Amino acid sequence: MSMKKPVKKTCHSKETGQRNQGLLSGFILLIATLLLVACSVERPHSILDPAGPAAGHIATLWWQMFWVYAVVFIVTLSLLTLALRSRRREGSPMGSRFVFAAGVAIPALILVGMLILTLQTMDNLQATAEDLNVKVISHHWWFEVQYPEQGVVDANEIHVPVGSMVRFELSAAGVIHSFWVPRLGGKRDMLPDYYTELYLQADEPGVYHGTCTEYCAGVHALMGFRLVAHEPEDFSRWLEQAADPPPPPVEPQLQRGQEVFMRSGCAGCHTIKDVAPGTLGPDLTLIGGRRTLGAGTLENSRGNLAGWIANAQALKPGNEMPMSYLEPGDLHALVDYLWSLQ
Amino acid sequence: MKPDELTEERFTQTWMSRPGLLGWLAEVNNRPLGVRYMITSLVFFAMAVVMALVMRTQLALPDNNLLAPDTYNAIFTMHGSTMLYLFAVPFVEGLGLYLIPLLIGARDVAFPRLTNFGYWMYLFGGLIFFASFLFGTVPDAGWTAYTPLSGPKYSGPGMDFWLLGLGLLEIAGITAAIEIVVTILKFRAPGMALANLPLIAWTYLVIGFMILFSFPVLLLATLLLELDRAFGFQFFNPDMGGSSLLWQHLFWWFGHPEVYIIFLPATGVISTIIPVFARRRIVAYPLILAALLITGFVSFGLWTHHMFATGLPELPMLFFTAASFMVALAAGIQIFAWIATLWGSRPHLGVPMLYILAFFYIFIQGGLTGVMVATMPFDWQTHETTFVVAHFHDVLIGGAVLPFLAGLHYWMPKISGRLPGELWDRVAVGIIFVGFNLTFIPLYVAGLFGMRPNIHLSGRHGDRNL
Repeated sequence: MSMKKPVKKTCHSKETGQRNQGLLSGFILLIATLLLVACSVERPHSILDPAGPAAGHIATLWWQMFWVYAVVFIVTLSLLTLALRSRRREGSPMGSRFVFAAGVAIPALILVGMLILTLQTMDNLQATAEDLNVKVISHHWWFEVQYPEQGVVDANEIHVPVGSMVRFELSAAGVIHSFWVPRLGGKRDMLPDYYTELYLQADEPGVYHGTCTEYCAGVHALMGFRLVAHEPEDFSRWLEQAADPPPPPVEPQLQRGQEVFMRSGCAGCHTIKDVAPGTLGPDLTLIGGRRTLGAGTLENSRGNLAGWIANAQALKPGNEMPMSYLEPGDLHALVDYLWSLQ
Repeated sequence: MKPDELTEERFTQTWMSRPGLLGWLAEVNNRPLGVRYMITSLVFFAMAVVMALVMRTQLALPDNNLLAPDTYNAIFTMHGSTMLYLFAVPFVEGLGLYLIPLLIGARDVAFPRLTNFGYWMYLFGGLIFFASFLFGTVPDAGWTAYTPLSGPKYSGPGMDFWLLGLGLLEIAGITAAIEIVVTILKFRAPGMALANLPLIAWTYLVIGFMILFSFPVLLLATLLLELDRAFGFQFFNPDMGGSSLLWQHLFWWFGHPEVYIIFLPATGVISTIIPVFARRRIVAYPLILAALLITGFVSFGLWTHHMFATGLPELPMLFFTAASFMVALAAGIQIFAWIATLWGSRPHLGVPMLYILAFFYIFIQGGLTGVMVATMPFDWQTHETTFVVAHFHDVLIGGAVLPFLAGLHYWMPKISGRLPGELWDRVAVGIIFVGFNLTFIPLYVAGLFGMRPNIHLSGRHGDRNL
């Protein structure tokens, strides 16, 4: 808005400096407003709201960089303003020496300082020991999660104990994806030809959002997961329960549900421990306890689960799950059965 | 010594284009072809802008269903590809082909027929890109086309249009680079030593060499990928022992220098315009020249800073952080040389100068956020977020398009023979400056809140709760 000034006045240079300052304060105001608006809402992907040491170190580095470079920005534009407002002379009073000092020497000092800060951050990010190994394999728009030492397999949800350094071994089936839990630390690509590693730790119990951050076509937008951090004893309990196969259903409704599962083709793609061996889709042994459906697409509820089974294509176009044509009674029994798998 | 009439007529006839359509097709003179390059690239630019508007419309409402996911993916792929391959580089080449002979006192570029060949390669490359729309199979693997996503298993025939079109565009780029380098080295007017070359000609000499070292690598990469796709080769197929990361190395070996291929001539435009409006010679010519050479050289040592998240060893990758800082120093030299030139000059604030002032603001902002994303640990958080999107629009639009707009206003009277109206041009500068910042500064903030680019939904699913 302040840019309209020079439209009318053919810019005597006195105006120029004020205009630059006006612009500057205008944009600082704009950013401040945005930040204010932003702070009032919960932001599950914010890197400025760290919940683990790695994200914390990087957030610190960001604020250090922000202030240093903000000063550089303001000083540089002030020098430009000064240059434009300074009284008229024949030749420039500033020669190569000024250019060298302002353009090379001082920035070099600043950048060496920033490089040292970077190295310190890298050093802080070094993980020395791991308490838990988790393998994550990305598929076409969902994540497979394995606890190799404990024999537990899950999908799109990762359970970890708080205060422990977890080593993630990442790989991909198919195209390149990327693994990112913004509030816990940086991202790491998941490659089809060799595995990569990432060390993360959560300080507080809670549910953290994770996403795929390498463009993988189709519904890349709907490829996410949840990382659930438990108190250590809760985590051990979860791990023990998860390692056991689900008990055979006794209620007739649940038995009918299992029978529908086996008969209607679900078992061709999905695994339920000791019940069905399919490998194409996510493991469903723990589906009833999950927080989301379709890799973070929907909240997990009975209604959403029924909707997902009936027509997953409408909710997440292009995913591998076909539409189903179940009788309402069968669908209810199936939902009840899956819901019981916790 | 005055040439007699007969000689003059023979001279005119020799250099005249042939009449009619055939003459238009076979045009070899650098000026009409340079203008043709620029106009064609601006048409593609307009198309890419329309695609950007469609994308922003889709994202304006949470969970919008204006575009299906695949349509959105195709549109952002074509937006990026069009902007970088069909607008930015060809515009740079067109401006160079037009200006360089004029600047160094040559009648034409070194190989006039090659100029013609290059232009048609460029146009057909672009048409092949857009022909994919006719067949309903628009490429959708992103403008960087990472393998294996762009390989035969995961991408349809749209990628073949993309690769073939890109192949022709690279050939066009290489021909233009040969023209520029040979013309500058061999066709300078007597007495014009390299040390006296206008800085804009120097920028073209530098980017000419950069194109010659970077484009053939992309040409090779596209060739290998097309062999994979069409003939069952396995260079990029991890299932058969190919490498998933090889493409990224080859692509960014080209891709990073390309950014400077676009940016350096823009600095050349600024180094031309500022002394004119300040009514004095540029300060620190040797330092600027050193900055150009350093940028050209070091830009080939930056490609891995696009790959910080790929899990390559950390210590070697840190060198790419350091190299990125070095390029920032080179940019700093130029910025302060321009500030020094302006110091106390009370410059005439014509339209080109206003664009350059807008450039200072946006480019310095983009340059500093560039230093941030080149800082490896921070990149682990911001890589593939809209923070990076905001950064590269700042440096490409702010750093290159605004200076080119300045250049267009500056040289337009020379090209067209008419003076433009001042008032509306000034209004345009204001709208572009304010509109650009309103468009991209929020993306920095959204990126810090973890919003990803390349997603067809905003709102609940799209990470953005603004």
